[in-house]
Amino acid sequence: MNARLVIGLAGGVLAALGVAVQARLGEGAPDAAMLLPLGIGLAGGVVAAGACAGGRAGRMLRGAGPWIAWGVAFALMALLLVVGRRYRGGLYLPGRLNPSELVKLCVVVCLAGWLARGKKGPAARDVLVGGALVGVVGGLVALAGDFGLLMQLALTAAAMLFATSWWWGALAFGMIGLGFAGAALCPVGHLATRFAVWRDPLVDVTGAGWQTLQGLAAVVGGGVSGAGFGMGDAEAVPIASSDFVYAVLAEDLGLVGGAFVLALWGVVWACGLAVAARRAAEGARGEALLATGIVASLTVQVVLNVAGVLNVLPMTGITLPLISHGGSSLAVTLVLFGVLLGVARRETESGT
Amino acid sequence: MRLRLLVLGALGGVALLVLAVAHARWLAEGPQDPRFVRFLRRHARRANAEAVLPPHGVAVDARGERLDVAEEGSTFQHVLDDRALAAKGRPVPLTLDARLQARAEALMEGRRGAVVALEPATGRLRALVSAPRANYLNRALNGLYPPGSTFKVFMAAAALSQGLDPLFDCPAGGYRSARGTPAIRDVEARQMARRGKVWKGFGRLDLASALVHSSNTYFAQLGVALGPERFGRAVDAARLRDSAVLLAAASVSLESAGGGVPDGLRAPELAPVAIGQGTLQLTPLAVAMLTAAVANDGVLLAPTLDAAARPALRARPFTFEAAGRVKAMMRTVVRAGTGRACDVPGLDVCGKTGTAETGRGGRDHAWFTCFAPERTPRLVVTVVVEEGGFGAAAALPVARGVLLEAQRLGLLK
Repeated sequence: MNARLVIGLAGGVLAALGVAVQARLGEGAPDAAMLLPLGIGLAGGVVAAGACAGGRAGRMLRGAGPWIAWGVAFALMALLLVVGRRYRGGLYLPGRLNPSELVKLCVVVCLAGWLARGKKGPAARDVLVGGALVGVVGGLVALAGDFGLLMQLALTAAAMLFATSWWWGALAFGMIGLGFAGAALCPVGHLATRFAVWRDPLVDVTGAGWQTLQGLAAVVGGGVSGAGFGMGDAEAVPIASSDFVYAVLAEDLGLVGGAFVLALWGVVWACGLAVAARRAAEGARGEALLATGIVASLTVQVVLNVAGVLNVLPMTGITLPLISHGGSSLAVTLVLFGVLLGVARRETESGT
Repeated sequence: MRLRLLVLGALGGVALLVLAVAHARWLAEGPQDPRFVRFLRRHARRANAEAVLPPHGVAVDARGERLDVAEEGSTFQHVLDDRALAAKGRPVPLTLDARLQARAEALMEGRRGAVVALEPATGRLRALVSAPRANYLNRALNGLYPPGSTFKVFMAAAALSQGLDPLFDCPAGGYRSARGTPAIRDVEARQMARRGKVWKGFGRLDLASALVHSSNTYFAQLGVALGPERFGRAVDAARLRDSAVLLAAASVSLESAGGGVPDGLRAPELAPVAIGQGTLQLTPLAVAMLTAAVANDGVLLAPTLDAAARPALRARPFTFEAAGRVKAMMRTVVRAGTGRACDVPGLDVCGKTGTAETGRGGRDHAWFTCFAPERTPRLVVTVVVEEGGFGAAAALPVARGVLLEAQRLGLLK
């Protein structure tokens, strides 16, 4: 089947589910504040799809694109560190804008540019420069204390390195594994609490474990088939609309609903990689890496978020793309889908 | 690149699959984890989760009769839930006797306090009442009260066990352990004064008559004579500060509170403690255990609610001889002293009354602790009635009622 159609359909269903869940968590019908980012995102996605189609994305990656993308990511993180305000443990720009979505896109574009160099593959120097640039942004993210985003960026970069070469990929994944083990063994700051809850949420049920356990209570309450859409006690789920939206889904729609959402993301993941493989076969290695980076970023985010709710991994505080509350995140995610669809468009079709 | 993307795709697919499996595992195993079930019941309170939870644990007595002893949401109920979870929903057999329990509950109707009925030879609890019901605090296990004169049983047995058996002058003016402290007097002094009569005091008392008269003046002096070191040793030997586990389960246990026994006191400061006042606080179960240690010749068995538990030693607080002598004194209390109203013919009840000042003003807490029969004690019954006034008036009739029911049920043979 046409990968573009499937990605579009899966994304559309997920976005529609997201709007429905947010409307169910809010009061009544979705209002303008919710629909505006949706409109902006759809329009931006169409524009991005057009802008990236016909090999244009690959040409952008060869020019100053990677440097511009890196500059934007660096500037956004630096701005966040300087003028950001704390809210619920996270840093936000004034107006409670979260620039992390844009940072992810920029990092993917930057790394794709560096890894696309060379005729047969990037030289070690290119990989190291690209990695160092990503590392600088990652350092700023760590300074901001957003370890969820750091983890997501690291895994995304590792996936792109893996697509480029077995050895660079294995090295990157190994380093992430070591970093995780190190953080688990001697966690700093609020990470200590998160790792402690991860090991056993039932130690401090009314304190540190409260959030995770309430989410799990919702998951268990939903059973296999769920209580019915809108019938769960979503009020009892902490941060229901954002980090814990999967718990709301699980209670309302049960294991069936949760597995359905995971399966849809699995479809996006598979089709995104299929697009990447095809573009690679057509010789557009930059676009292949761009597609890989985009779906990797989205899938990593899904896995980290749901794993946090189900206590498979420590809570990272990152959201479930397309479904969690958040206007800017929804808009940028739709733009990412647009880029992916643009890259997926056959070069031969570009003339039409 | 194609193969690497395939591998990458498989990795992501596995990750997503792992999550779906983790989700399913929580559904299957969550309701099997007693600690998680307890969280759901106590803190999550979700209408939807109720349906997937295992049923509440039910307690039964040896005859299979249902015991309605644990309040919803109480630790007791959580322990029963845990045990039932481990036993595939089967009822949890307890040592309690449903009939004795029902009688004791009826006798405590409308009062505040607790009843503990304990087999001294096995440690098995036969009745455990906390009144009023519908309260998370189990007064019998965790209510801390000044034990008043019931503590004199401990003081007498502890002193005798350490070879102390003195005579003391007990004048009407009472005993002042240190300059500037109020005199500790006998109740008689106050009663006589109220009637406008002159009381000359008990004169010279020995331990036996002091216990029968419940002389504060004597026991205050006994406490000072015993001194901090020997008192501390006796407290440790009886494990008064330790809690007791009555029913253990996988992740939570029903435990009694340890006693609040002051530490680091100087000898004069032991005077109020020796008469069961001051900062001393014990649970009704602890008073029952002290009584049981006397009844069981100085050997204290671990109290338990678990029908499957074997008798286990908890402590050896008193010598055989001391226990025997205190037993005889307690028999005299019931035959000829403050506990006369409990002298059931043919039962040879041994007992001790207690009237404990609450330190808050208002009426005193009423205590009665006893066992029967004297020769082969079968059952210890300890009763406290909060602000019940005199022990003989408020707590004794309850204990008598429980003993009579136990006799009727054949539990004293």
